Amino acid sequence: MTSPMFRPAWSMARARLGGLIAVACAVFGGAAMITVGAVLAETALTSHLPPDRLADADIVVSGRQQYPVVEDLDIALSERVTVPADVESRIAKVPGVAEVAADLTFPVRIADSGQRIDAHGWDVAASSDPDLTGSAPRGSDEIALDDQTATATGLRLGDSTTLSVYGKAHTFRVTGVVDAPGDGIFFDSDTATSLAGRSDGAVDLFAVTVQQGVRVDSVAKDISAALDDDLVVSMGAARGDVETIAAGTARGELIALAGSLAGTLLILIGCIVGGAMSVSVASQRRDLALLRAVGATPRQVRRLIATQASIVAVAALIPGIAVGYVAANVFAGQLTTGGLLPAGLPVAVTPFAGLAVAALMLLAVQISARTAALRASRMSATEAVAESRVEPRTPSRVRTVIGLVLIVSAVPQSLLPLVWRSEEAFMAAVTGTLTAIIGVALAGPALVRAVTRRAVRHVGSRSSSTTWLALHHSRAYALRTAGSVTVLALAIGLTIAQVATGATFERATADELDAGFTADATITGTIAQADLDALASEPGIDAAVPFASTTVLRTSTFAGDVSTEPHPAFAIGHDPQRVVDPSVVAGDLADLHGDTVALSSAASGSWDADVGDTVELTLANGVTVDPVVVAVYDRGLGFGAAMLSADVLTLHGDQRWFDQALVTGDAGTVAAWADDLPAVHAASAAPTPSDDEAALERTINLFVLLPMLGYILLAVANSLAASTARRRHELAALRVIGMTPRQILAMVRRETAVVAALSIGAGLLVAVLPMSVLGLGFLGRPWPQGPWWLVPAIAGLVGAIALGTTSLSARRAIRSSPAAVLAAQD
Amino acid sequence: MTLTQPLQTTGPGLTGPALSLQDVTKSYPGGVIALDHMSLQVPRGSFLAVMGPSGSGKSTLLHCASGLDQPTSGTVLLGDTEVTRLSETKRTILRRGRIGFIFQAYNLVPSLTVEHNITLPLRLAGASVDRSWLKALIERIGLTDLLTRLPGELSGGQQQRAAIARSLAARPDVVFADEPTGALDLETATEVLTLLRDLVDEFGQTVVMVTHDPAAAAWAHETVVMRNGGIHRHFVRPTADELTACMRQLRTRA
Repeated sequence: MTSPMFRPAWSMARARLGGLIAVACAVFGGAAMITVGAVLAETALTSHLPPDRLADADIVVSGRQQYPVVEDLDIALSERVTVPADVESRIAKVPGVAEVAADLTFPVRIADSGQRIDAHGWDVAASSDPDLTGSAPRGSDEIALDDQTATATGLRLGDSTTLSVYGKAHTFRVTGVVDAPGDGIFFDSDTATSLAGRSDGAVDLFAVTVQQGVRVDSVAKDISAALDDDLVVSMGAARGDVETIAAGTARGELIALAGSLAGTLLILIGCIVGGAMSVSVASQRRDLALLRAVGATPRQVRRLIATQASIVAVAALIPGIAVGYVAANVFAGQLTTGGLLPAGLPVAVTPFAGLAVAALMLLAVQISARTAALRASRMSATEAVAESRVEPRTPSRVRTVIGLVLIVSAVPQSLLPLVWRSEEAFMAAVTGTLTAIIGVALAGPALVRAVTRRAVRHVGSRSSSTTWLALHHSRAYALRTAGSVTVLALAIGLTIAQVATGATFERATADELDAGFTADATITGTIAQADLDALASEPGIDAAVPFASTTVLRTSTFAGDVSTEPHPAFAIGHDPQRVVDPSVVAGDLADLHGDTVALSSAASGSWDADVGDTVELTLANGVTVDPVVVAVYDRGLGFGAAMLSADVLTLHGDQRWFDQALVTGDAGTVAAWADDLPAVHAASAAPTPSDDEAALERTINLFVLLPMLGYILLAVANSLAASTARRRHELAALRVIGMTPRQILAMVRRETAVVAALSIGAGLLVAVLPMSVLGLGFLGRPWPQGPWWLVPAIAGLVGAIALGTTSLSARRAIRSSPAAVLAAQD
Repeated sequence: MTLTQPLQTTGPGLTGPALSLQDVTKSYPGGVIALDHMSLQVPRGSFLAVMGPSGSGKSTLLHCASGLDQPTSGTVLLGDTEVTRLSETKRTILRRGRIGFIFQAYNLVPSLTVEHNITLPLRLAGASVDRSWLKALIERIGLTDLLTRLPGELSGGQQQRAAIARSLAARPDVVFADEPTGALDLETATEVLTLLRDLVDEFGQTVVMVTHDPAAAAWAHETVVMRNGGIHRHFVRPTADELTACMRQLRTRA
C-alpha cells in the first residue's frame, strides 16, 4: 500500500461506495461461514474432554480407537477396543512405574428401578486415594457406590440390592460410599472381570501412576517402547479422550463435516467475492481509464483496486470472524444436542481459526481484485470510455457444446435410482443435478439467445413497447442475462436437490422399516438376551428377538485403490425371520446364527459376496470377523448393509445389552412382561431411526444450506442492482426520446421477469427431474420429496428478490433528470 | 419517391412561432443563474443556431425549451401548448410526439437495429406508423440499405443520420440538436448539416441547434449568441467569420 495510491483509492472508493459495500458483504458472509468450519475443525483436532474418572492417573494405556485407512483419514471406532490382560505385567516392568491398575467398565441394571448404571473395577478409583465412607468392596457380593449414584439410586451404606448383569441377577451389599471422580458402581477387580464376561479377561485400559520425582513424559515414552504399536499411551489432556471414546468418534465426523463443506464453500465464496469485485471495478472503469491516461501504470491501477479491496476486506473481516465464532458455538451446541458431539467437549476458542480465516480471505480478495482489475488496467483511456455496451461476441460455440454435453450426461446419472436402489444412486442423483447446473452455466448464453429469439419473433409489433423492448434487451444482453440466470438456477437447484434427497432418503428408510416390520411389538430399554429368553418361553409368544444398530467397516479394493468404508448394520438375535422381513432374495434368514451374516443386495453386489461366501468385516470395536453369508435381502436402506447374527458379537468377547427387541405374539403378554421390567417399554409400532438422528441431519443441513442460499441470493441481488444502475445512460436516452418513467420501470420489470422465468425454469428442470426420478425409484412417487411448499417458496423468493432489486435500482437510476445524466456522459 | 408533404402535420395553429420562451429564468441552488430572464421566439420552418462560450447557458436553454428540464420561472410554449407547468410524464409524452432530439453522442439504443431505433418513439407512444411516409423519409436521408444493421456497425455519420431519422419519425414541431456535429469529421459534418438545412428549406421543419462551432452555425438562418444566461447578439444569416469574431470578442471580454 504505497501512499500515492492511498488517497485516490479512498476518494474513488467513496464515490462508488455501493459496489464496495457489496464486496464487504461478500467478505463478511464468507468469513463468517469459513470461520464456523475452521473453529469446528480446530475443535476436532485440538479439543479434549477433560479426564474425569482417570484424572489421577498419570498415564493411560488403551487400545487404538482408530481403524487405520490407507491414504485417508482413519475411521474412528465407536465401541471400546479392548486391551489384553497380560499387558499389565509388561507395563509394571517399565522403570518409573509406581502402580498399574486395570480398568473395566460395563453397564449393569438395577433390578428394582431398571436404571442402567456403569460399573467399574475398584482399582482405578482406589489409586486416586478417595474419600471413602465404609470399606472397599471385596469378594463377589460387595459393591461400593460413588455419592452421586448413591443419591440417584437411593441406596445407602449397608443396603442390599439386586443387580442384573447381562440378564443374570445377583445380589450385592453396599459396603462403601466414595467421593471419587466419575460415577458408578464399583466391584472388586476379580468380580468385575468375571461379571464383565470378556473373553481372555481383556480390559478397557490401564491406569498408570508414576513414582515420585520421576518425569511423566519419560515414563510414557518408555512404556510406548515396551508395548506393541497397536496400544496407545496417553497423558495430560489426551486422557479425556480415552475415558470417553465418543469424543474420538465425534472428531472423525466433525472433520468429515468440515471437509465436505470446505470445498463447496471456498469455490462459492471465491466466485461471489470475485463477482462483487468485478462489479465494483466495472463501475469505476472510466475513472481507472482516466488514471491510466494521466500516467498510472497498469500495475499501479491494479494495486489501487487491491488497496480498496483490502481496506474493505479488513473492515468486513472483523465482524465476520466474530459472527463466525458465535455461530460456531451455536452450531456446536446444536450438534451436541443432536448427539454428534459429546457434551462437555470445549469448542476451541483460540485466535488461530480467526487468523487462518483472515489470511485466507485477504489472499482471496487480493487475487480476485487484481484479476478483476486486469482488463481494466490494461485498456487505454479511449478504449475504456468508448467501450461498446453491447456484447459484440456471440457466445463461444465450444462453450455451448460442452455445456450441452454436460446437461445430456446428467440424464443417465439421474436415471440411476430407477435401476439400482442404493446409497450410490442417491449420490448419483445429486451429482447429476450439479453436472446439469454447470452445463446450464456454460450453455446459458446460447440458450438464452435461442429462447428470447423465439419469443421476440412471436411477440412482434402488436404487443406493448415495453415487452418488446424488454425481450430485445434480454436477447442482446444474453451473456449478462445468462450470468444472473445461472446463479439463480444454481440456488434453486441446490436447495431443491439438498432437501429432496434428504427427505427421500428418510422416507425410503422409514418405508422399508415399516414394510419389513412383521413383529407385533417393539421393546425398548436395557434388555439382555436372558430377559428375552424368559419372555419367549411364555405362552402366546412366538419369538422375541433382540437387535442393536451398529457399524461395520469393510475394506475393499477397486481398480487398485484400497478403501475402507463404514456401513450401517444391525446385530440381531436368532430366528429374525419371525420378526422382520427384509425382503430376502437369496438364502434363508433362519440360518442367521453363529458366525454368520446377511447382506443387502447392494452390499452383496459391490463386495462380490453371495450366499455361502465368507466376507471379512471389522466390527465397531476393531475386531475383524469372517462370517459366512447366509442370506441376501433387498431392503438395504431400512435394514442396513449387513445384518450380523448377534452371536458374532458374543463370539468375539462381548457380552451385551440390547437397546431394542422385536416380539411376535400376544400383545398383552408382552405388555405384562414389560411392566415387570422397569424402564423397559413396549410399543406396537415399528422401530424408527431415532428421531434425534433425523433431527440432527436436518439441523446440519439447515445450518449449511440457509447461509449458502442467503449468500448466493445476496450476491445475485447485488449483481442485478449493479447492472441496472449501469444502465443510467441508456435509460436516460430512452427517457429523452419519450419513454415515461412508468414505461421504463415496466420494461425493467419485464426484463427481470424474463431472467426470473428462465432461471426458475432452469433451476426446476435441473433439480426437479432428477429428484422426481429419485422419488420414483425409491418410493414409487414421481415427484421431489420434501415439504410441498419448498418449490413454490424458493421460486417465489428468487422472483421476489430479482424483481425487488431491479425495480429499486431502476427507480434510483431514473431519479435524476435525463439531461443531467446525458450531460455527465457517464 | 420523394417527400412532398410538409414534415410537420400535427399540432394546432400552424401559424405563430413553433417555440416561444417568455422571461425564462433557471437558477440552481447555490446562486448559479443559468438562464436570466430569457425571451426568444423561433418562427415555424426556421433553422436557429444557438452559440456562446461555455457557461453561457446554451445547453440549459435547450433543456428548458425541450421540456427536459423545468425553468425556475417564466413560460415555455411549444406552439400553443405550455410546457413549463406539465408533469414529468406529460412532458415525456410531449417529447415523444412533438419534439425530436439529436445528440452529439447519437444515443441510439445499441441493441436495436436502425429500423427499430427509428420507430422506437412511435412505438413508445403506441402510435401507428405511416409505412410509406417513413420509407420515403428513410430514403431521403439515405438509410435504406442500413436498416437491419446495429448502431455499433455504423460510422459516426451514419449513426447521426439514423438519429435524425428517429427525431423526425413522429413529425415533431421542433427538432433540438445538441452539438450534432461535435463528434464528426469535417466532411461528414457537412453532410449532416446539409441534410438538416434541406429538411428546413424543403419541408418546413423547425430546427434549433446548439453549437460551439461557428462554421456549423453559419448553416442556420439565424444565430443567437448567448452570454451569462442571456442573449448577447442576434445575427441573421451571418458568415462564419462574423461569428468567429464575435466569439473571440466575448472571450477577451470575459
